[in-house]
Formats: sequence, structure tokens, C-alpha cells
Amino acid sequence: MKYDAIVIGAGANGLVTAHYLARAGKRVLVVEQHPSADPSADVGWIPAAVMRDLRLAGSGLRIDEPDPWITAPLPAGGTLELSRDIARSTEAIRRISPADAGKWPEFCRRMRSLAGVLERLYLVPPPDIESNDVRELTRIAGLGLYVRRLGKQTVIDLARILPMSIAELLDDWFESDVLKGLLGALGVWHLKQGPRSGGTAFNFLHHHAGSPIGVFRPARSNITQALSKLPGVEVRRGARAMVLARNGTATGVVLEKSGETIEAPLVASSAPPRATLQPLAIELYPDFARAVGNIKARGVVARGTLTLEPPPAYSTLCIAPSLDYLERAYDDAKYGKDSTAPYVEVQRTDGRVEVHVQFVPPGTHGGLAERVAQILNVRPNQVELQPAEESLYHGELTLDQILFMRPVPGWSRYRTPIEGLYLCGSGTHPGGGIPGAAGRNAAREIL
Amino acid sequence: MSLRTTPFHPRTGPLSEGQAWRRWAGYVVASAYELSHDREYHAIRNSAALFDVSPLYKYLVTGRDAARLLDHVVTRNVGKAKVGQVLYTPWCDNEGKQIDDGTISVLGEQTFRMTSADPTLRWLHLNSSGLDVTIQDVSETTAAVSLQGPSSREILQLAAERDLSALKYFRLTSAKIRGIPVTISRTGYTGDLGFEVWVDASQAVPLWDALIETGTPYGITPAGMLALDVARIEAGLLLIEVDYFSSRHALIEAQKSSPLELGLGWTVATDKARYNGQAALDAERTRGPAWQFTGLTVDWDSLEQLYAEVGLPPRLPSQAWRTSVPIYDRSGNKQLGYATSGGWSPLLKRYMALAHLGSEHAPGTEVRMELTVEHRRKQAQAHVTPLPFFNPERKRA
Repeated sequence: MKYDAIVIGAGANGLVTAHYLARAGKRVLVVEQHPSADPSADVGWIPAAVMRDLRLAGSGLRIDEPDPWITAPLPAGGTLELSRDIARSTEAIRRISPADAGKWPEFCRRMRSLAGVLERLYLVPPPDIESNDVRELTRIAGLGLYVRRLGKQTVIDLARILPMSIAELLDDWFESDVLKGLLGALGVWHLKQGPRSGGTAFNFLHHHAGSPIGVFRPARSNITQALSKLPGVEVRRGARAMVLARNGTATGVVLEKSGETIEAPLVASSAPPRATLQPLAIELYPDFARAVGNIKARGVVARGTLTLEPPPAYSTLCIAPSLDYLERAYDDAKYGKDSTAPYVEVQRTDGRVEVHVQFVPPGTHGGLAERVAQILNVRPNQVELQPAEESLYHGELTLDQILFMRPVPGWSRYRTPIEGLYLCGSGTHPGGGIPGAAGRNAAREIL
Repeated sequence: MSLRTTPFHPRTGPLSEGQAWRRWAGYVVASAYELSHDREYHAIRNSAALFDVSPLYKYLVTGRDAARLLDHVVTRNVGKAKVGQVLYTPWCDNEGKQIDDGTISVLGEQTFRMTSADPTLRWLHLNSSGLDVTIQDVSETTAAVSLQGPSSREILQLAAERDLSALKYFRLTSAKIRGIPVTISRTGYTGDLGFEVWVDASQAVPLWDALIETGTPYGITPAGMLALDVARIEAGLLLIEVDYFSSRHALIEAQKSSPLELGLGWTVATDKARYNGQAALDAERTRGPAWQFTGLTVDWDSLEQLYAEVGLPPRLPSQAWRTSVPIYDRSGNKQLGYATSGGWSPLLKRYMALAHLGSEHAPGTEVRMELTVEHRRKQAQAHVTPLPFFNPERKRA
């Protein structure tokens, strides 16, 4: 069988790249190391362009838009529930802090405006700051104009907020620990940083991108499963593929267990950049190989499932009662230990109850399930966790690893120094938490 | 921290009549042992000169992927080299600009010794990711002398008690000199018949003594860097930080050179797997390098006339110079390039220079070289001359 292209990885980005290539008439094979599709929900904004281009609307795609979008226990009992309706959220906040309630609508508006800038940046390859090409310069100028038209406040907010810590941003606005805790959690989401680390305000906005105004949790969907069912590409599961390259040009892949080689002039890898490129070091210039080796992709999240009968009434339960709580959870991880009191979020989607636990750095995880169970007031055997050795985003979204610096500076256009080898996973721009965006950008760059 | 002395210093130190030492890679080596380097120079061309070249950086690269690593770094095809071969080779950055040059000795199927002018350990390590290879810095534990000149083979044959006539140019062999295990390579930096002898640093002094004793009837002469400098210009051999700048140390792009611009096109393999700078060098080869590294001969009559104008006989540099000197076209108005080394060849009776010129200036082209006559800038007529200036048959014999 002859293929025009091989895509490594059948996650959302890999499949999106594969389907865009297939739509352009290429014969595409997708190779996935896991034998079966991951049943867990995809967390993140699905760009409308992906849904439109791949006609996902009629393919069984479900996007969960829970209302209220978050529930957080209050120290004195009861819960704070925030809704998609800003007025209702404002009323809920008023019960714990009238001052915060007064600021909520304006906060939501300002954050939405900033997230809008990111959305515009994310659906195209990152700006090429080294370019002298007129089209590229026009594009960068267009972006500048767009931001300018959003008003002086947005320009100031962008410059001021992006490098800020989420704690400083939230302390600027609010007084309630519970509110700041549940918002601050989004700032450290998948990062090995605490809410007082610089750049966490950016991470907060990154994860707000694609969400409606006043909703600070990414959408949950079954996009990977929906993509898996789309016809047009061949998917081989249960085989880990490594890229083959000779004299600086990709020639195909080799399957790790069987040793079978499959040739193709084009290989797109949605696997982490480091895992894709490190075995090819002999084909790479050392400066590039070192930059790839130094990508920060530290695992800090354990995901898993919670067995609850009957399923809980809430859709998303957030245990991050204050910014101090989050910072302390991070303190443990900073020294290589699991958080004594981790940030825990429970998400109910399609009858599955999933749990996100942070911070869980690589190592031994003695008593972790017990601690999570205690926090959630369930039995330990109801909690099943899989700590991730590496960042699930294939590279943390810190300020030094975004835009034209993702995956490594100078190589943000999905290409690699190896002719015919492209990267299309969340290790590339715009990064994790936006299923299909990197895959789409990469495919458009390839075509 | 003071400069270090080499393992031969117990012998070379007392020989120095004028305490004229030069710094080389953190060591001191003799500029000249006598007060003038003339006799040392003539030993290179007429008998045999013995140089202490221990300050060279030396790395032992071993393991299954040793050849792959070196092939990834350098421009020559190491994989194709046979055991016992020595390769002279440059190595480049990703843009095909030269980082350094040195030699690779193939000591065994999986054992190589690389020499370099600049420290290279980190670079080798950076290039070795994923490879099964061990890199050892043996700079301090391996000492080396270079025995150069028409009598060098006879001296070494006597010292090693074996026939070395089969040891061809750029080949090596292991041997024993008075029981001391050594590696002898048919290499050098003089363009003459010559050898380099590699030895464990602990055996350096007895080796020196053995060579001096054996060589004295043949006129063996310890020689320093001043004599070597004249010989290497005659031989057209370039010197880092003098004739070119490592792309590592260049401050601007214009200070970098590619091997193709340095007359080292023959070292850039076209038949090997991906190596650093390959794409850039392939492209440069296709479009043709912008610069060439060539010889210049300064015309005697022109020199004589310039000095006659001020009432002096021609004056010649007493040592090789290593400064940048502008080269102009025959009208003297347009600069064509610059010379980086030059000096008088006592053997050839010729004022020679090594120069960077645009690649369009063919041998024989008349140019002008700037020089100072009695404090005034003048231009002497010169001609583009192919390198090397001196290329005796015995070099390769």
C-alpha cells in the first residue's frame, strides 16, 4: 500500500491533520500507539473552522456546555455556583462578597476581550517575527490594528496582564478566596507553576479562549471519538511509530514492535516534539536537538475517573478554596513531591465522571488516591488516577514556549529541519487545550 | 592561573636561549630556541626539525557509533576511511561556516583520535545525543612531537628500529621507540616529508631524548613556532584566528568563512549522510563560493623600486607576519580582498602572502598589496599564485 502521508497519533490534532490532508486528495495513514480510542472527554475549545471544514456537526460530535459551569464548596457550608448567565453568577457571588459581585461583569468583559485576541492568534500559524516578507508583515500589522481597534484598555491589559501572575490579576479585582481559588486554578492548569508565578495570567486567558463571556472553564467534548468515526483516512492502532529519515529527508515510519516500515514522502507527527525528534538527533544540528531536548514538558497532572453512584448533581466541582491553597499545592511539586492537599476538579461528561488532580509530578505517588478520596469525601477505591510523566500539552504553556517559540524558537511553523517531517500536535502553536487547532494550522502549512 | 608547560618542558625549557615563548592553548611553547629562528627554519627544509606540538587539543572517540558521530560533525567522509588513515578535515556550523579544522586518526574500527585548535569536547558531546559513543579529552595525557624535514624518516626508522618506507602520506602506525609505545603518523604542518609522534605524556621526556640522540648525527634541530610559521606559509596551510576566524568567535557574518572559500573544497564530501552544514555547503558549491584563499607573490622589482625611492635597499620582514593587509586591483583604487599571513621564503627567495580574494581573480592576475615603506603607505605589485608555494615530491613520497 502506498501512502502520500503518514500521521503519527490518533488524538484530535493528529486526526484533524489527517482529515485535512485527505480532503486535499492525499492518501493518509494514521498510526496510533494505543490499541483503542481514549474514552475520556476532550477538554478545550474546538475552533468553529475545524467543525465547519470537517463537517463535524453531523458526525456525532457533542459539546458539553454545562450550566452552572462550576460548583465550589464554601467554607461555611453550601456552594458557590457560577452560571453561563452573568446576572445569575453576579447574584451568586453577591452572597459571598457584594464587592466582588459588583466587579464580576466588568471582569468578564475585559477577559473576554483579551481572549478574543488570543483566538485570532491561534487559528493561524504564529507571527514570524524574523520575516521580511510583505505578506507576513501585513499580517502582523493587521493583528496590531485589530488589537488597537479593541480600544486603549485592551492594549494596556494585553501588555500588563499577559506576563502577570494570576494571583496578582485576581487580587487586583476580587476579595473572595473561593472565587479567586476557582479562577486561579485555571491559571495553573497543566503548568508546573503556582498562581504566584509570572505568566499564569496568560495561561488563564489561554484556557478562556473559545469560551463564552463569563465562563472560565474550557468546553468538554467527544471530538476525538467523532473524528475517529469520520471516513477518509486509514487508522492503524496498537503500533508505536518512529519517524524514519535519511540525509535530512523523512522517508516514512517504522513500527516499534514489528519493525515494519511504511514509506511515505510526508510524515506529520502529533506526538510530543521531543519524542518525535530525539531519535533523529543524528539528522539534526545540535543546537536544534538541544532546544528540543530542553522543551519544558513536566508532568503535573493526574487524570482519572471517579466511580459515583448515582452520578453527582454538579457538572464541575472545583476544590481549590483559595490562591494560598493552590500555591501550597504547587510548593510540594516544586520540590518533587505530590501536593499534600492537591487541587482537584471533578468533571461529569456523558455519564463519565472524570477527575483532574494537580500537582502530581513524576515519582512515587503514595497515598495520592486516598488524599483525593478524602478531599472528595468518597472511598479510595472509587478513585482511579493515572499520573502523567510528561505534560499532557507536550510542552508547558509558559511565556517562553508560546507563539513563535513553540515548540522551539525559530521552528514554530510546524516544519522541522527534516524535509517532509512536520509537527502537528499540541506541542506546536497554539498548544494544548484547543483540540484540532494545531492540527488544522499544521495541515494548512503542509498544503 | 599561570600558563602550563608541556610534558617536554624539562627538555625544551633549558634549550631556550632567549626565553622567547608563545602561548598556545593555555601552554607555553618556544617561539624560537635560538635568538633567531633562521637555523630552525633551515632544519625543516634541509635536515630535520623537532617541534613540540603537545598543546593541540586531542580527543579519543570510541564506541559503536564513533564514526557516525565524527561524520555528523566534520565535512570529510570518516565512515569511508580505513584503519591507519589520518584525515585532515574542517568542521562547520549549520550555515556551512567553518568552526575549526584538525585531523582525525583512525586508530581502530571504533577508535578515533581527533585533534583541534580550539576546545571541542562540548561540541562533540552536543552532537552525540542518542549515539553509542565515548568521548575522552586526552589533551593532557597525550603528548606529541612533530619531526619534519628530509631526514625525518631516516631518524625515525633508526629510533623505531623498523622500516617506515611503507608508511604513506596521511597514514599512521603504532611502533616502539626504545621500548616506549608510540603512534607515528605521516603528517605535519610544514608541507615537507614529516611525521608526528604521539606518546603518553609520562613517556614524553625519554622519547625526546631518544629522538635527539638518534637524530643528532642527522642534524636534528629543536624548532619553535616562528620557523614553523614560515614553513606553513610556504606550504599554503591556513591557521585559525589568523587566516580565518572560527564561526564561533566571529562577531559579524562577514568574519566567517566556509571551507569552500578557504580552498578546502576537497575536504567537503559529496557522498555522505547528513552532517552539520551540509545543506548550506551543497548550495554554496552549486552557486560557487564568493571568496578564494590563494597565494600572492610580491614582485621583487616593485619592492626594490619602492625602497629605492627613499634611498634604501629592499627590506624584508624578518619574521612571518600575521596581520590583515589590503589587496587592491592593479590600478590601486579598488580593494579586492586582504592578505592574512605573509613573509619572506628563504628557500624560494620570494616574498609570499596568503590572501582572501574574490573567487574571480585567477592565478597570474596582477594585484597590489599595501605595505609601509619608511612610515608611508605604498602599494607593491604582486601576482596571484596558486598554493602551495613549496610542494616538494618528498612531501608525499
